[in-house]
Amino acid sequence: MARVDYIVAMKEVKVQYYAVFREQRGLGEETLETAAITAGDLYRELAERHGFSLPPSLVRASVNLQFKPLGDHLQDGDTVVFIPPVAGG
Amino acid sequence: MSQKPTFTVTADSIDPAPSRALDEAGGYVVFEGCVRNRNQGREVRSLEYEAFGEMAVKTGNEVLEEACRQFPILEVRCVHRTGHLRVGDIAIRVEVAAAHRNAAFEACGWIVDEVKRRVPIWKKEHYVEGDSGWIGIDVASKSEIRNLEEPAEGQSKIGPKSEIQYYSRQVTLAEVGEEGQAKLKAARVLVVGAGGLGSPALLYLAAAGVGTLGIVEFDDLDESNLHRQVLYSAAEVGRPKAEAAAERVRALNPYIEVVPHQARLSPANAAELIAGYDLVLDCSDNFRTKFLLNDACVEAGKALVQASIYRYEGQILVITPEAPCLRCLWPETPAEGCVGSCAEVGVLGVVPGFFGTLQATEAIKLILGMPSPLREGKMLLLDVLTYQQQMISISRDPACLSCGSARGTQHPEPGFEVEASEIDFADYFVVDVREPYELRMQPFAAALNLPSTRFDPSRLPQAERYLLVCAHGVRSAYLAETMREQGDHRFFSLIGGVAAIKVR
Repeated sequence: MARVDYIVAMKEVKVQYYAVFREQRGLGEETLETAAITAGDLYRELAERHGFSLPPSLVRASVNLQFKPLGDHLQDGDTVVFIPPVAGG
Repeated sequence: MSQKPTFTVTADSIDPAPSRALDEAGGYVVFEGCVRNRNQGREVRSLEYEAFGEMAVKTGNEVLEEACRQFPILEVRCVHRTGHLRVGDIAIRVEVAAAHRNAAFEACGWIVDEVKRRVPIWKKEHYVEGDSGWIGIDVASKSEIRNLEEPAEGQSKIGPKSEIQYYSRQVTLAEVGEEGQAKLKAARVLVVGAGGLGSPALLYLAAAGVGTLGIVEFDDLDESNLHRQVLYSAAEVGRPKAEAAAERVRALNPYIEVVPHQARLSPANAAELIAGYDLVLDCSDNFRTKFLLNDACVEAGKALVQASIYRYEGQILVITPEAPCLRCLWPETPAEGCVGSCAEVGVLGVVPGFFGTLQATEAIKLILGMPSPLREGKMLLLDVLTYQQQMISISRDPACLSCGSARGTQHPEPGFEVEASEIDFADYFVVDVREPYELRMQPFAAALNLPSTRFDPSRLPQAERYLLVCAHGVRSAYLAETMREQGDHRFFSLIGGVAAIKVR
């Protein structure tokens, strides 16, 4: 049986949490290493780890101060902000 | 028309000399408005007129051009004097020539009224007693002028009597000036929601001199509103907020027009409500209204300044026809309560205070033609605890459901939210999802109380349709949507909740 080795590219990203995510994560920002390829993957990884209640369909991600689709690839050194819809007034 | 209509403003005295007549003119009407020796019971010694420079001439010419379109007249000229005039001096002369006398009379009368109403020229009367007072030329009615000049017994005689004095401290700014102040006066702004965000927004827009301010607000003032809704006074609990807000705003600035709309924004009234305004502020507190306003403003091409808060943070977005809209970012209206319901989250009054003031700032900048980074499709996020702030760019979605190619293809409003006025409660098994203590404070006739915090659908008896009711329609909407996502479409939510059921 052939053996396949995967080389996982780890990326260092700065993650900032906004509104309800800030509460559920317990802090406003952190720098971490991740194997996630897209912002969506990163959200799912963090959601599972920290118990984020919002489904990915409602989450928006800002990557380097620009809203990007969750399917866009992340690069090493990116700053990602996860933003839920907010309605308070 | 043999000669272009002209409106001029002059500091020279106006001679009562006739001007040239036309062969075609059968009727020729001249009106001369003079300084008379009495006004509202006071003996007048002299008058001063001050004009808002170029705006006065521009507006005056607009009036004359409209007159030429409305009435079959041949020629019209108008001169208005500025400076110091004595009793008997001519302040304004209007000359109209027409083929027939009726058109000349009517046009002349119309022009005098319109000049008085619209042209930014203010007069100051110097009374025989030695004092003086400015009179805004287009203050709504004589009775209001009387109220300004004759304060009630016991009240201080020092009060804002002068529109020019009122704005004097901002008119000196290069970005404002006479022209900017006139733009503010001509602006019509609608504020949707007179709550935490709306309170400071309304106060500052009024103070700046926005000429027409609309207020959309359906609720009555609740005790729990006061910690953040600083527009109101504690004695007003129970009073309809639209009415109370209008009164407070008028008290702050008597020179503007305030229009309360005691209504809840809905697909049925949104377009009509915003039609009379140029700019809208979203000071609402629920997704349904926010997305509805977004769609309506995009459709009508009106600018929208939107803000939302969550605990100590907030976001603000300015949507114009050239910029991305809310649905470029969130195509579907999120369910209410998906990020925590109203009563659960909690907020300090200063937070909506901060963001409501930011909204007024952006609105004023827009009206004055000042630049703003937020108008380039950027959302400002701000945390008032750390002052961490960022501006995040939004890309316009070419296939956006609201402003892009997919507009009109889908009605995004969820059909499970129903209006009290449109349904028969007898068609539903009504479930009150509030906490027991809320029921004691505000009873409601429901078949069953099943609080949202421990909602167990298995405890519900069999029924064809369930109507969930909470305090404001937020928790009930979230629950109904959750049940529908699980495949059970028998659940509906009452828009506006118990607060929406009123006996009028």
